[in-house]
Amino acid sequence: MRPSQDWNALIQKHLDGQTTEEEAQALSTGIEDDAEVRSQYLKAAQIHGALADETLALDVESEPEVKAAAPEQQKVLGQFAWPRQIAAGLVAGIFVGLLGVGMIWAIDSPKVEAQVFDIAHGDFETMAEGPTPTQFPVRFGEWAGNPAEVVKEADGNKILRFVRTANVKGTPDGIASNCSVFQLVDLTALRQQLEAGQTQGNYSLKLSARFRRDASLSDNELSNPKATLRIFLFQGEPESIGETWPQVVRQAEALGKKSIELKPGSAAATISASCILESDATVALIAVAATSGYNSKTPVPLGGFFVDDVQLTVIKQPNLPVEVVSR
Amino acid sequence: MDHQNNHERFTRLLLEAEPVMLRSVLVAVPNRTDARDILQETAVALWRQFDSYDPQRPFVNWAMGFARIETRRFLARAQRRAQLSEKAMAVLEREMAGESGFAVEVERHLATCMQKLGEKQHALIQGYYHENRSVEWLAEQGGRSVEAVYKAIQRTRIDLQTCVQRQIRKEII
Repeated sequence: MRPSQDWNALIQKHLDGQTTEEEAQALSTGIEDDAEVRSQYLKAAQIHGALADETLALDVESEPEVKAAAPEQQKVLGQFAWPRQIAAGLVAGIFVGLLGVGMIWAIDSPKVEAQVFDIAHGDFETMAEGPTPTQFPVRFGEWAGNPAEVVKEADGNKILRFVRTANVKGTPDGIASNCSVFQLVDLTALRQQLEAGQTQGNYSLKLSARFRRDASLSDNELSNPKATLRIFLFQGEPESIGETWPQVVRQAEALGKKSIELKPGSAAATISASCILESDATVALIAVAATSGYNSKTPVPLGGFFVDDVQLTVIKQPNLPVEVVSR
Repeated sequence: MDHQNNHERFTRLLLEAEPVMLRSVLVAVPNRTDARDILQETAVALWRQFDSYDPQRPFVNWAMGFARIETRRFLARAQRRAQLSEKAMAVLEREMAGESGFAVEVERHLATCMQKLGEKQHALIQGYYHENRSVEWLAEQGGRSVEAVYKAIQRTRIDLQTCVQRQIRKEII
């Protein structure tokens, strides 16, 4: 019989696909015959499984990579977001050919309707110049979060500048990998409006924003910074979301996110993140962010990142006939 | 309309069940790419059979039956990695069905434990799990050997497991 430490090492090797046939056989025998080995294996495998869960990445405010060259494309099979894509494909009947095996096809393409849904201060023009509140927002319609400020450009246009990364909850030793500025959006009126409509369809929300990165001494040494958009839909009261952030993302009814890499001085880029508009969602949490590109517990200055024209659009996709085809 | 309602219902149910299914498949097939392939096959099978789903039963239980079948099918044709024996997997499945306590605790405490990792450990986990970086890539970036990166990942998982167990004990006390 192997000592406990040996079993643990063997289990860990197996989780990374490093065991030989003989070692896998020895582990199998241990699992079959020894309750302690079985228990050790299950615990280690459950940690491994939980780490592979995409929502944990959001919990810790890490940002999975999306290449700048294709900001409008979703990741395809093999990346961790695929089950949501399958689900979204089934509902909306779009893009499912991207899943790589020709699983489901939309067989018609009726007209898609889009309607802008006003969010407060999406263009920052009516806001006073200066810092936005550095706390998680507790009410609808205010921008707040990590250190950021509204600045006026030479042409008079107002824009939000990301000042530095921070941990929005002020958690001691918490990760400060990004500068996120949030807004809570009340979906009640939108739901009433949609429910009053006579036509049937599937609805999704598209969050878009225009990001720009100027050359700046404060962030020109960052190796892999990104601009990021996130949208989460919740059922509940707005103040309850901040209380349990970031763990609350696990309760999100729907979510969408998109990142883009920007070189200093490059042209501004508009990116969008979409999610299915769940029928029982009452609150949307939207977040615009600049990330340092690595996990640091120390705040990092981000002087050159800006965002403007944050917009929420309701997309109506008429009911589409979809069919499953054989592989 | 019924067809469309079915789509929506299936989507909701699949979204709810997917994390549980993924974690369960990963117990038998730890390789994440393989596990996702299995989940894709499972999703197709579930959709084909959705008309026979009894809504009185929990969807996740129904779906897990399909996931187990697809896992066995996968293992029967996959020869490229050393796998656990069928008997070992059957024993694990039984154990998982009877005891979900630790999985629930992992769900509750893992985010907290992640915050307690050092920066290097955190970056490693982010690269390996959340950005799907290969160990070879991580080794090159970090100026370390592939073997050293594997060991660091494995040590980090053990640290996380210890942390979760400590959190559970703290609550009991």
